[in-house]
Order: sequence, then structure tokens, then C-alpha cells
Amino acid sequence: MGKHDDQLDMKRREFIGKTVLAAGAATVAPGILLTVARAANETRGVTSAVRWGMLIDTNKCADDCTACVDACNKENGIDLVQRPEGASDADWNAQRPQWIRKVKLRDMATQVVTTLPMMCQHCEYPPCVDVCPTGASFKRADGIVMVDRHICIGCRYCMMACPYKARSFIHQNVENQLVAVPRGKGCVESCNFCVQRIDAGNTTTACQEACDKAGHKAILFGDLKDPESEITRAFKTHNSRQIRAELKLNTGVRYIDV
Amino acid sequence: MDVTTSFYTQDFWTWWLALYLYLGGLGAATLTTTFLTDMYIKPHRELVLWGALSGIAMLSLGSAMLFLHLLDHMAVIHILNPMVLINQPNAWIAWGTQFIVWMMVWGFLYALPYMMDSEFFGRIPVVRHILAWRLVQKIGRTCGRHCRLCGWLATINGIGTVIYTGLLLQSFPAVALWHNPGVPLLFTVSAFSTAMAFLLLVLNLAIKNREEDRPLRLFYERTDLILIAVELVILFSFFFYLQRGSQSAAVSAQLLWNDWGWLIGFIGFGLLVPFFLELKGVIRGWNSPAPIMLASVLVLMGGYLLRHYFMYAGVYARPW
Repeated sequence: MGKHDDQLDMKRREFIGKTVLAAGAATVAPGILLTVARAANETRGVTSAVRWGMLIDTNKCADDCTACVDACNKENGIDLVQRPEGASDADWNAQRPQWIRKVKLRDMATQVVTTLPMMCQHCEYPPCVDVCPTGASFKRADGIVMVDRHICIGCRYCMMACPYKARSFIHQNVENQLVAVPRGKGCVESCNFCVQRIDAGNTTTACQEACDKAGHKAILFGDLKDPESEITRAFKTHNSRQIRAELKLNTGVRYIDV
Repeated sequence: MDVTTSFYTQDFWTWWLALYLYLGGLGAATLTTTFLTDMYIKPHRELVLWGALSGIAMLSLGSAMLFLHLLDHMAVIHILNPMVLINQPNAWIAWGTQFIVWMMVWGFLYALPYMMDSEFFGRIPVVRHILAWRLVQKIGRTCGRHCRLCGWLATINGIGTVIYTGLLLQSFPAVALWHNPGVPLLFTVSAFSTAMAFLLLVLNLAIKNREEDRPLRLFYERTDLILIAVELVILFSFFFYLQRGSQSAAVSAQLLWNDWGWLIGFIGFGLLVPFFLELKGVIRGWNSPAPIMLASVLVLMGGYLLRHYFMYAGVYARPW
């Protein structure tokens, strides 16, 4: 009887031991896989020899034009996000995703109003990346700041950290979406310089294309590290500024005449 | 050109995050204080059981506030995973989550031998059976032999949790009220002050005002008095820093110092009244424990109000 008891006890101990081992492995494994997955992404194609950036000439940005906003909404499937049933206008306006907004700046001395598009500024030192607990908010080697929606837990710390109010949160399930721009309930998202275009070898964003098509040519996108690029040459000839430069974030988006 | 600036408060982090920060700080400081008391001042089984279990309960409740706020609850596995620190060593929330989890684990293990000896837990039906399991007995005996190690591991994680509640807010450069080194200091002092107040209530109410605990109560009263004084000094310096700092800091100062809840509720009833009640207790003593218990309740209320108003007074400056 005693021998029989011992055998049972051994099996139970073995079972407990294996369960603890399996639970430990299950806890740690996703972290290892995430590390490996990120390492693989960063070494394929994207390089720090490039820094993507944008220069916006506010003199050319038309007050009543929303071409960039409309193009962004279409390119990134934002127009497919439907208003939840019963949501009031105020709730919907506060909650709907918005990657670019047109905002107005008023000169304190002259009271002249300047209109400009405001989006993620793709900071060199992005506060959203610093505070993200899982690494979902990250900066690519080429300077593009974006969100990995697979590991975003929806805590919204990045939204709190962003000085530009550039991030949106998806509050509801989204049925219609684009393959290149997946989105899910409980995730944060923001402008990623149309990364799907960049990775396909394109060198224009949807907003720049729309602005050019509308005849304003206020948006210039390109490689800030290439001395021959149009954007670098424009930087040399125009006086451009960062919004909230005192935060020393070294933004990738700059504005002329603000 | 110089453009007009608009100032906005945020509506993402409201009372529920203030409650998370409050319970996190109070729970961790309570647990840390009871373990240090038990290890170095006076071995005290009841105090450890009250401190550890209520600390764990507060941290669980605080964490639940955060968890419920997520829309994809399964995604939380990504932050519970300790490997996240390799991916995100800069994120204080990642450190804080680990501090909270491990503080609860080591805190429970420190209290386990006391639970096994306790008559109270021996009378609770399910708990009695679990405590009798051979594995639990073995863990309890091992923890009893290495109680200092468990105590210090819980203490380190507890202090980490307390400081983290301030560092979490400090990591937002866009909000001048939060983004300054005084915030972790203020929240740490406040957390230990509320913990002293909570333990004074435990010693006066739950452990029945025992005469042998009198020196310990006096020690907690004196410590709390010092902590409240330090908190007042920090707030005084905050007031001047905010007024002379950036525009958004000045707006935060206006929001705080023009609010009766902050002035009367927090500074008046949450700090000054308990300060004078405890000062009288320390200098001349009270004939009854009631004034000290009143002071403790007020300090606990003030601890929440501090975090509540801090959340609502965080101001973003935008040039549009």
C-alpha cells in the first residue's frame, strides 16, 4: 500500500513539475519570439542610411482644402470605419480615427491665421515609443514611427505622451478594412508616412500626391539624409520650424513660415 | 512667428487612473512598511498578515482598474511577460507591472508562514485545506527559513512600485505639471504617509489598540508627521516652480490653486488638519485614539485627492 502511495506521489510531483515548467515556458516564449521577430524586421530592407521626413509650406496650404485629409482617409482605410450605432456627434468626432487634421495657427502680433496639416511628426526621440510598455509603438531605422498592432495592448499611454495629439484609438470592431492597413478594436494608430508605399519602393505619400494633384504643392516628402533629394535642398533654401521645438524631439516633419 | 497657444486637459486618464496610482502606492508602501517593521523593529504576526493581505488586495484592485480599461483584455499577456523588459527597458509601465506582480508574489510568500500558524486562517474552510497541502507546507517552511530574503525581495519590489507611480506620470514631456523630478518624490512621500495612516488604523481598530503596540503606534505617528511636513514642503516648491515655469505649468497651477477641492479638500483636510492632530499627539498626547484615527482617515482621503487633482490638472499646450 505504501509503495503504491509513493508511485502516485511521484506522478503528482512529476505532473506539478511539468505544469510549472510548461507555464513558465508559455509565459516567456512570446517575449523571445517578439524579440526575434523584431530583429528580423529591422534587418530586412529598412536602413538608417535613410531618414524619411516631410516639409510643409504653410504659404501654399489652402484654407478650405482637405485633399490631404481625404487622401489619407482613403489610402489607409480610415473612411471605412463606420460610426457606431447610437454614437452622438460629439462622441464620434472625439473618437473617430484621424491621421491628419487641418489646424489653424494665429499669429499673436498680426492675428494672421495660418492653416496647416497636423499629423504624427515622426520624432527622432518619440515620447510615444519611450512610454509604450510592450514595444508596440516603435521607430523604424528609417525614422518612421508606427504601431505594431499585434502587440498593442490599447493602454493609450502613447496617446497621452504625444504632444501633437496625433494618435487615434479604435473603439469598435471594424468590419471593412484594407489588407495593407489592418486595424482592430482596442489598438492605437497614427500616420506612418504611408509605409506600405515606402516598402513597395514608392517615394510619395498619399497626402503629398493629393496636394500636388490639387495644385498646391505644399507637401514635400523625401529622404532627409540624401543631400541631393528635393526635400534636403528645400530645407537649405527655406526657413523651416518644428512645432513645439522646445521639447527637443527633432521631428521629421517641419513647417515653412510658422 | 509667435502663435497663440491653446491649453487642454486630457480626458483619457481620469479618476480610475488616479485610483490605480493611489492603491498602487498605498498597497506597496503598506506592505513594505509592515515587512520592515516585522524584520527590524518588532516581530508582529498580525501586522504582517494585515499589511501583506490588504496590500495585495489594494494592488489587485488598482491593477483591475487598469485591466478593465483595456478593450482587448487578452492583449495584457504582452505586458505580464517579464521578457518585455528586454524589448522596452525605457517604459516605466513595463517595470511597474513587473514590480507589482513580483511584490505580490514575494509579499504573499513572506506572509505564508504566518498564515500557516494563524488560527484565523485555520478556520476558513477552503483556505484551511489549501494551507494543509504538502507543497504549500513545504513552500511555507522554506519561506520561513529564508524570511529575510523574501522580505527584502518584497520590499525592493514594493519601493519600486511606489516610485513607479510617480515615474509613470513623469515620463510625459508634453505635460509640464507631470514632467518634473518632484513628482516621483511627492508620490513616494505621499504613499508612505498614507501607509502609516492605514497601519495606524489597523493598529487602533483591527489589532484592538494593544498596550504593547503603543511604541509602534507612536513611531508610525511620528513618521507620518515628518512625511506630511515633507509633503507640504514639496507642494510649496511645486507652487513656485509651476508659477515660474512654462505656460502650461502656469495653467496647471491656476487649475490647482483655484480649486476648492485641492485647497480645502487636499491641502486643508488632507494635510494640515492631520498634521496638527498628529503634532498634538506627539507633543502632548491624546486621551483617546479617536483624533489619531480621524487624522489617519483624512490622510488616506488626501492621498487620493492628490492623485485625482494631479490627473485632471495635467495641461497640454498646443499652438492651434
